[in-house]
Amino acid sequence: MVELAGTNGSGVLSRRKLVKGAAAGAIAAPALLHYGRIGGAQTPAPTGTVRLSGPTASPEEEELLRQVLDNFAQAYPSITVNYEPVPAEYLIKLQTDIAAGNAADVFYVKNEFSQDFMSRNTLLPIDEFMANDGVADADFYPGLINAFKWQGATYGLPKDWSPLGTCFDEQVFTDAGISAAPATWDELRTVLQTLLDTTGQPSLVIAPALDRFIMFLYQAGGNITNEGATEITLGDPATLEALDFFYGLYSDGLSTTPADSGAEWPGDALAKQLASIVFEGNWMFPFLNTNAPDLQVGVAELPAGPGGKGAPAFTNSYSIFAGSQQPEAAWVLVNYLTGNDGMALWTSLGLAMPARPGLMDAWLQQYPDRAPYAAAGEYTIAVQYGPGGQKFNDDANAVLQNLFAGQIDTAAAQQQLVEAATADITLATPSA
Amino acid sequence: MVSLARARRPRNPLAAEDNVAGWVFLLPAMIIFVLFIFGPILYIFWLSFHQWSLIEPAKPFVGLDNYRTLFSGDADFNLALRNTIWFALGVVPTQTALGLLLAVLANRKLRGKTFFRTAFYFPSISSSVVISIIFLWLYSARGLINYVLIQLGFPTPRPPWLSNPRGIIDMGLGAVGIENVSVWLAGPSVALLSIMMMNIWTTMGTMMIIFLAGVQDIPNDVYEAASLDGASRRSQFFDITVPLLRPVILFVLTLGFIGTFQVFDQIFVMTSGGPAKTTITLAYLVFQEGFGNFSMGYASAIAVVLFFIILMIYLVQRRIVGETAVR
Amino acid sequence: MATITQPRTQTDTPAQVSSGSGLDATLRVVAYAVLVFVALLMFVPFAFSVATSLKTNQEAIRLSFSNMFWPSNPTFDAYRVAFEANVARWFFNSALVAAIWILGRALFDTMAGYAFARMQFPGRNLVFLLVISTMMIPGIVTIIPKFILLQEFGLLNTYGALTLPFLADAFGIFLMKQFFESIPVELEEAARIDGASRYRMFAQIILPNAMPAVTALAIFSFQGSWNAFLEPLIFISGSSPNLFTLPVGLANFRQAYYTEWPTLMAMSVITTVPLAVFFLIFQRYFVESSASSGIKG
Repeated sequence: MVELAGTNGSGVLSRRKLVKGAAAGAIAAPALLHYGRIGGAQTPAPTGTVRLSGPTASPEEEELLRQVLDNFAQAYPSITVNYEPVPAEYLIKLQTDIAAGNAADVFYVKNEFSQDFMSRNTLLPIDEFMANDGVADADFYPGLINAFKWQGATYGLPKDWSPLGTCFDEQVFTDAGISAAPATWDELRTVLQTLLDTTGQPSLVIAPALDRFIMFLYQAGGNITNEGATEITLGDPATLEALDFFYGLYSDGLSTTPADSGAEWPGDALAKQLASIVFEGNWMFPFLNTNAPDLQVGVAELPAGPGGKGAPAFTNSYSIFAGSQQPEAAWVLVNYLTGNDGMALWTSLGLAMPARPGLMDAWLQQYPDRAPYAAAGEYTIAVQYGPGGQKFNDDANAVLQNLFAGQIDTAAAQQQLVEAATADITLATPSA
Repeated sequence: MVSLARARRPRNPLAAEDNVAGWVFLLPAMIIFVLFIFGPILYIFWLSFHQWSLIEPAKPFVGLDNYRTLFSGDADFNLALRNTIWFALGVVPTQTALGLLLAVLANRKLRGKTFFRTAFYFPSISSSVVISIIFLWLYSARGLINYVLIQLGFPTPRPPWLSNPRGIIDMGLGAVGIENVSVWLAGPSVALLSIMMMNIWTTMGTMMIIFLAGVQDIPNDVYEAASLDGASRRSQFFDITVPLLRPVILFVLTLGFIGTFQVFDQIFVMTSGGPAKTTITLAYLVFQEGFGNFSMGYASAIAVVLFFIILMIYLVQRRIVGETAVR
Repeated sequence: MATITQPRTQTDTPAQVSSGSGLDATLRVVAYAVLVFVALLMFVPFAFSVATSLKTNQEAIRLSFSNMFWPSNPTFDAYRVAFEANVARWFFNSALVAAIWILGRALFDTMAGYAFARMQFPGRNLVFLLVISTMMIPGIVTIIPKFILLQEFGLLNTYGALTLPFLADAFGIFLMKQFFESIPVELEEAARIDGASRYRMFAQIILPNAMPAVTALAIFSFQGSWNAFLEPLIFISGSSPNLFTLPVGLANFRQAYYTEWPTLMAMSVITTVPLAVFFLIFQRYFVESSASSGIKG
């Protein structure tokens, strides 16, 4: 059904050969593939129609993306881009399309699930394209591009990113006499206690979900697996410490959940003034601009825990479908969208930050108050749950929800997290 | 389901023509069925003996492995089975009883009879996505239901309705000091209960309509004779209406069980199986294993098991109705 | 559907207990109370969604008895946002798709139901059992093979994908079979004496007489198509928003406005009101026909 190269490691190789062959047929030789960064003036850029897919975004985002694509069309008139946003249930749609061999040539892959896709040979390795066009790993934040590497090959380039940061309602902080955002766990508790005393309600809104709990895990010095994903490390004492702190905030009435607060998500709680402090990323700001334009929101780095600073980062790649009939043209698009021009324009909305450190200074001039996010670039980790990540994500969320509902205690929660990770995550073999 | 009409049917002189005409009449429907229903279902049976990640072309044969995993205590499967059974047991009898009650009431000579019938039927024609969105809002922490409860001095669940994974029996027992009941006894979670209530709200009208047909079919003179004999209204209901409607009741029950064992849409739109997996139903698990967990083969095995569960319910019901009809 | 042991009454008037024969006042009051209460339960969510759609975001989340069903400062802002989306087109698509489902099923299900009810032909019982058993497979699992098939036919992103797989269904066939088994064979016998073939008999006698059941079938088909969500979502790509049906359009809309209850409710109202008007105009037909047709046996 799907013209994928193979099912195991050798498939990667044969797919590469296939690409080479196709490229050789289309243009003179792969070595001549020098287009992209300079505008494709010297050699004829590949022609064709490239389908681009991703989840439907807000109207502003979509407008901006279309603008980026217009610019692309001017730079590469020989390539037509068909943008196919997915209105809902992006992952289902993507999988159905892949199963039918009908996936778009270029699509988004979230870092959380990239390993699931990379380990199954659904994405095209782009190392040769990168080498030919002089795109280096070093052009991107290592923590971001590494999320799209699998067994030594690269399967996509990060289009943008954001870590979590501390976002707070400046007015409420001033009224409560708080001068600075909390820098440590202890300060966080103190600040939340002060806010509780002042406002009479929990001020931190945070969901019992793995993608938020993980910041405490990092700050406690823990992680889900070790580097290289050869071993589950959730059994470490750091996990319990993180769980105790995370749940402690809730059980002591210092934090609440979006559902409890009556908001749809923490950003919504901030906008509706149901919260005065949340841990969210850059994506929240266009939302706030629309929904609470008068709100003054300060940003700070996440508080440090006993294990030091830690912040999860979230990113999306533009990846090429392994079954794409237009790999060269698809690469030109990927390279443009993740290149200096495309990325600078795309990130100008402030929804996310450039994944290229070289663009960060210019971005910060536009968004100076977001500097704390950029500062996290030094220690941030792009969240990955390993192959099997989706199931682990579900299982871990269930554990945290049960913890918050008082069904289990933190020790049991840790044990269940370990069990879920052991059952769900396919560990890499050290030799790989 | 079994009709007496079949037994009464006279011999058929068109038999020879029907050998061909029968299939001609079936042909258009069968083309659709073979292509889009039988074919895909056969494929599902076939897949249940294979492993398929959905995004790879390879589908290695694994024999009975999927079924073995399923019956050797897969936690999610057990949870889904439990949730589905609670859902069906909570929804089906309730919607049947309420549907019957409404049908009997709406069949009386009352002013505004048509208005009431219309009102009851209206939710069943609205789009389920619209209804789910409305109920998401009603059930939210600052929604209508919580507000009314608070104003009337009742406690509200925390976490709010659709986010609350606590079992309702567990909560009830907890209130009288019994802690830590087993998972099976904990009952449906508050979240599942919320969806069950919404489901009853939507389907009650349809059930009423079905009963209305049956109630209207009961000849007037049966009641007249009964009331001449001095039967009370109550005994008329239990001794005449209910027995005469027995086949319809069983039909509604079967429809209800088939529907509830496949409940998917509301779960999908409202909770995605959460909180803490307490609203994962069998049909939702099929979806989640197939599309969320890269295990289409395993998902197919669950679908096959679900198929046999529903088939069993259907056959049992058919047998019971068959006996009623013959009696 | 199910056959009642009792033979059907000769008259078609609904059996009712005449009010003279002792429907005492208390019972009447109780009956009214129950009916009114349930009717309220049915209407409150809709009324509340209308009220919410007229509120500002801030007012919507700050509920009180005074603003529950009427906002303190009604505003149509939410409707402006909702109308900027392509609702009219989605509505048209949903209506068109529903019409095609109804036509297809009214014809194909009726023919198949008639064959199963009245004709003897080889394989009949087996095929019928197979048809019935398909009702027991949750639709979600067959979406992948369907998708691949539609792709092979080149029907993805066309109205064909939204309609072709749904032109016949097991429930409808079942419904029609039960109906045909319940109507007297005398009609056909008369035609048979005239030497009519099955085909002529079906077109000239059976079909016109099956109208009540076909109406019920049409209603169920309408509900099915109006609610279909996952198939249209998967079969229609996001690059063809002009082919979205209402549920897909709504889901799409919800992605962007999921925190704005007034906007979401305005959207819900816009999509429900034409339906409600249609329903109110034809409600007698809706309710009566589904009540007095194929559902009984």
